[in-house]
Amino acid sequence: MIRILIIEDELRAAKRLSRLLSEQVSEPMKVIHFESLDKGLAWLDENEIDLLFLDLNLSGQDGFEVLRRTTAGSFHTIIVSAYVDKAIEAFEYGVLDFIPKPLMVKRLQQALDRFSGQRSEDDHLRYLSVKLAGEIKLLPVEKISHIKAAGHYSELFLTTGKKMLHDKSLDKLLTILPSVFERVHKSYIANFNLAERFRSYPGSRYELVMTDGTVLPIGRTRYKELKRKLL
Amino acid sequence: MLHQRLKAWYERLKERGTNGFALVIILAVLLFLPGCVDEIDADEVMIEFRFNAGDSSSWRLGDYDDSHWLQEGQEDSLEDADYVWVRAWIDAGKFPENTTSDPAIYIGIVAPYEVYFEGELIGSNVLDGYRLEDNRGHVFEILQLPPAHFEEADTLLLALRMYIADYPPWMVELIPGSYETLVRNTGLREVVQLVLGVVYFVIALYYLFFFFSGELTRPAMFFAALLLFVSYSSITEWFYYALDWELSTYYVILISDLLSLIIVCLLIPFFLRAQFGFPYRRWFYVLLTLIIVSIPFSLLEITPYVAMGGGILMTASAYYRKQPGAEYMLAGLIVCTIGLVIDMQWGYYATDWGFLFLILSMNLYLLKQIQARRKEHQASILRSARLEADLLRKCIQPHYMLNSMNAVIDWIEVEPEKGVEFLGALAEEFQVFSRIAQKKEITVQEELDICDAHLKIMACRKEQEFTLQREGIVPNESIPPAIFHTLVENGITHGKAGEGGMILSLKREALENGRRYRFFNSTNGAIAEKDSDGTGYNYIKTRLQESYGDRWRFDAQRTDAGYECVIEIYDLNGALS
Repeated sequence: MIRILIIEDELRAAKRLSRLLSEQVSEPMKVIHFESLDKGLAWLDENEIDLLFLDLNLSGQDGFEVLRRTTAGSFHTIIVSAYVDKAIEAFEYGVLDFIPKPLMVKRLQQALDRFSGQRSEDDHLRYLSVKLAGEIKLLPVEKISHIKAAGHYSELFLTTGKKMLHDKSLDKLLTILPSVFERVHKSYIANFNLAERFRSYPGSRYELVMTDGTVLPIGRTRYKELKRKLL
Repeated sequence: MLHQRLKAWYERLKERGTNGFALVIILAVLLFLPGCVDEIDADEVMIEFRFNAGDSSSWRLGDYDDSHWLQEGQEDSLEDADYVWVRAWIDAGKFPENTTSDPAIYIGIVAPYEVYFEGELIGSNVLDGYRLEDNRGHVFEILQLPPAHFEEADTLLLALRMYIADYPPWMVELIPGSYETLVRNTGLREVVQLVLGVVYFVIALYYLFFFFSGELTRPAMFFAALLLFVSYSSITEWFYYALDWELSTYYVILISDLLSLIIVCLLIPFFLRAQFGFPYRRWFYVLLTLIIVSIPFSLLEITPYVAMGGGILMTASAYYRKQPGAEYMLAGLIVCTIGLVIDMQWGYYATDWGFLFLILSMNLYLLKQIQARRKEHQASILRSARLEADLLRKCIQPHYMLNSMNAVIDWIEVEPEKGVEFLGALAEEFQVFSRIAQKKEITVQEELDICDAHLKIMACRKEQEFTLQREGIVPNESIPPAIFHTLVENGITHGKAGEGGMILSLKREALENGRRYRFFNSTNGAIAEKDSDGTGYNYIKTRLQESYGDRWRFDAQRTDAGYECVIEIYDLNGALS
């Protein structure tokens, strides 16, 4: 079951989104609505969801503070807002999609497609919001060398040698990361800007050597496509 | 010494209010002034003066014993007499030795006179065919002194016989020198007076133009008036020299010159008050009274000092009150006063230089002010344009429009009639906005109409009741547009809805010197501190500034129950703390 939270201060708009979602999503789902941002975020601290539709006033700095909080979560965030001029900036912070108001059905469908795993074609993401010691840090994506699956979470390996945990799964991260990040293995995503070469072993076993010397395993089925990409 | 005192009095009479100048032309003209400084010191040449009332032909002779006559300083008692004689003893050796030009004397007396040199009649200012008693004559004469007498003795007698019955107070101006120099100096003074007078007149017209164009109102008017009177004095002085008027005409002009000097002295405080303001009304009247009282008391001797001293105090007070440009004016007034003192003691045309400095500083300051006004004017046009744009943007803010469209689409999908109703409300808000967009002020009623239209739209979008409670509102009062609308918008964004929807309230209170509006909404406590000076509040403040200058106060603060904004607007004549 997909758990969806809508934070939208106009009841009329929330009702409509809710109605459109029930028309568009075939899987079973549960939709919860809050009019107040504060109440919605408070509820979010206590409950798990899969997808957040957020109507945010992005004209001030406060809106982006909220955005950092939600994008650091395990769920995806989709902004539904009339502040269309801020869309690119929102993408930089790692939202799954930005749907401009007035909300059109076709656009909602695209966002839902992206949610179900289709990778975005835009490379807007610049920062990954990461929870670190109770604070939310913005981590520039180019500092990520590779990412390893860690249960429901992901482990980010940085160029500095540091490690960080992210609440999102490898699948979810892949949908928002720029295209230089590629899945090389069931449990690994690599930043191909920092990849050096392939190493092959007998028995169709392959490895990816990063510039810092780290060696990542490559899934058998992915090798051909990845090689084309690196060359 | 009498002649000096008389001369000083006469010079002051003429120059205090007369000469004075501005700009480079005047500066250039003033450069000629050293050229007309007397070539010798009259004090050294004229050794002794004796005065007596009455008339006798023997008084013209050198061997008459005048030791019982009045000495210098006692001559004032002679004013009631019909005839007065002055005997001046001249040191022949101190007279300039000029080989090309005969010795001569320049005489200026506002009375008919005859001049005897060593007993010999050498000239008179009386017109041909008239007697002394007919009062028909010129004021100024340059008389040659027969050089033969200079060989005869060391001290020579110059005797003046004056008929003063019709022209009191009489005055005597005697300048010894060579004939050539005296003629040239007189010519130079004519030119200087004429040019200065004309230049003054032009500057006066220039400021009158500013006055009528409304760029500088009262200060320009007083300054122009001041210059006109100064210009009048200068030009009439040129007339004396150039047109050789008769005594009666001269007397009238002398009186009018005196009057214009008095007016100039009075205009200085008025100009300064118009320029810098002067909050001590009583002291202003005291100064005016002092100036007027000093006129008969001192025969104008101290009047200019009273005016200048008062002016310096007024300007110092302006400087203390941090009035812009007061320091320029203060410097100008002080230099001008120093010029008066120097002129009184030593001459050198210091009054002209001082006055030049004063006029230059006044000019500089007024021109600066005109520039500042123009800048301010342009800025205010820009501000108005920006406010108008802000107002329109409020109405067609993209997020407002887009959110409204979002709502409309929903109604089209599920409830088209409601959508039509909503579009009607939206249209209503637009119509009011377009009607008031160019106005700087609208009535409170119009303003509340916009608020109601806005609340209706928000009620549709949020499916929530909004009530704007009013108390003590005076619908006909005016207010800048979209002030309450901005407060209502903020209230909706930050407010908290209760059981019966959201309640906003607007209350008008009468103040002693104006009115106060209190706008209140209960909040959900979500207002960040920085919101309190956000763009909405800036809009309100700029609007109030545009409409009321400094006569307003805006304050927004959290209270226990919610959020309260207070706008106070003061009447024009209201006190402002």
